[in-house]
Amino acid sequence: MIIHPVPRWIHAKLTIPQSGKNIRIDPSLFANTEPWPWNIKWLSIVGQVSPGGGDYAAGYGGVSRVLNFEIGITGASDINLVPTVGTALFASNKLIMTKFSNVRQGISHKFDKPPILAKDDGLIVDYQRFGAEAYSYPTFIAYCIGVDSGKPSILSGRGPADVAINTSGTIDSADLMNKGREALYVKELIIDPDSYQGHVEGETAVNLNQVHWRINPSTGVQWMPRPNPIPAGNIAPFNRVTNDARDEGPKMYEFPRGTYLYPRQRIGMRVTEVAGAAQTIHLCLYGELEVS
Amino acid sequence: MTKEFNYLPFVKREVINVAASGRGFIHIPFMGSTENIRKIIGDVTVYEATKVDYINMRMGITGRGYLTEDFYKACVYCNAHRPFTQTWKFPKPYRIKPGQRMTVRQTARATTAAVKGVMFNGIRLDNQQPVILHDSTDTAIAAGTFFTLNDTTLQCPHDTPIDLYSFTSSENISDDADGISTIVGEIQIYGPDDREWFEMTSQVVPAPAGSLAHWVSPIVTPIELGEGRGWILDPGEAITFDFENDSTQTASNVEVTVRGSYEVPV
Repeated sequence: MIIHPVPRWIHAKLTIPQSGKNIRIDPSLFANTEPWPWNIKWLSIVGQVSPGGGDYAAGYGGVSRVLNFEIGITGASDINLVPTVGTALFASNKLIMTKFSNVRQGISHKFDKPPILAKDDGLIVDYQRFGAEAYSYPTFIAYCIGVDSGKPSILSGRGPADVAINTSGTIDSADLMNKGREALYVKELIIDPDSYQGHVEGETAVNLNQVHWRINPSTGVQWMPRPNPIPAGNIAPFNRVTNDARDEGPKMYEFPRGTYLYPRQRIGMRVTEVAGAAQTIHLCLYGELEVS
Repeated sequence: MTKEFNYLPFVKREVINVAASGRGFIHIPFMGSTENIRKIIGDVTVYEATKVDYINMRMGITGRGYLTEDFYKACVYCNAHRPFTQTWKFPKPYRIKPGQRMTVRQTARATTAAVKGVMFNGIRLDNQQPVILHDSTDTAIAAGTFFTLNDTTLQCPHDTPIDLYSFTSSENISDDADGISTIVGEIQIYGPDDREWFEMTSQVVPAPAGSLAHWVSPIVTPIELGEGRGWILDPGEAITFDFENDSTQTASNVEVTVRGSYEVPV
């Protein structure tokens, strides 16, 4: 039996009530609704956009440090965790130096097992701007390699010069379609979260939570099946700047290697704001569907 | 019998001036491009001194055309995950044999005198244990002074070949700041055959980085290509870059640094 890995991002936006109250997340949010096993990799968290100021956490994609989490798989208690604050659970465990903040660099997601795009397939890429920062030329690049030839290929596209606030669009580019010669492995996605003006040296790009994206193949099993686009920081959380002293970048909890959500299994979660005001967060569960 | 290869690291740099609202084209041919060796393109760094985002780019391979029809902001291509120290990891390990010795020539461009050192990380072939080749100056080196490191501690052990995986220099730590405030020295590495790894044929003087600087730890994040993405050039193929300057007022020097390995039969 041949297994095709298909990436799958599931995103949910949640409002956590003020201090002392908790919510139990609707388990249907993070359920495996497909007939194939889902090898889950990580759960990322990004704060809600707060245009017009506030602290850095709000402005730069972070979340309150005193948010408590309990996470488990329904029907299997073996990885249920002790409640812990978000900063302990959601650690950015890859100290990497990327993203020179004074230019507009993309943030990347590298696939463990690259998905395949057929000869006549392509990518459909949507974007939506929520934040107050100016946003221009949303750019998407996918580094690919030919399945037969082993030669490099790039699928890419660029949006309009000015994306108005609260508007969305689909990137219109012939470069997003496979050239038709051979199937491609998609090795890596790059999304461009920010305009030049939005960067402050040493800080995470503000548009990690202000610009949302949705990337899907034009046929077959969808990568991001929900209709709402996903914050850039949730799609590719393994990106930190050199001097991210405020520690506000997107974070992720990595599941133990080999953790699966089998069909109809769900992630159960309880979130408690311990000391702060109510806040809105974005959670995104990522893994590889083993399609066969 | 399978053919065995060694992987000789190389660095190539070209600089081009792209006029306002103009186009520019860099074609990087390779040593031995007419011979039967392949080139692994490890990564590419595209640097523009003012750091603004009006340089658009597309990449290609001669004979295969450009990989995209359209141009995209050069900085959006950047995808490397970089270490915090000044380290270059070779695309493939470079094997040296007993008795062969590495040589490093540097300038100290720090603002204060300091002891300087370099290190190659390797693995012994006989027992797979880690080994380092290293050397440092005995005394503090004044800013701007050239010095050469070539001690026996940069020599392969007498009892086994070793595979070198990376090179590290203490000269600077690039913090992704701009090229002017990041203090960096110029570095030249020579293999045992006295071949210099850095090859530059540009007609335009790069500024402000300096011709031999900023290639071990580039100022901006490199574009990681490598074998895993199919960036192995066959004999005769060259890597090409097409630039487009969005600015209607400013011409730009665009500096392209390509790092990789020659696949040489042994």
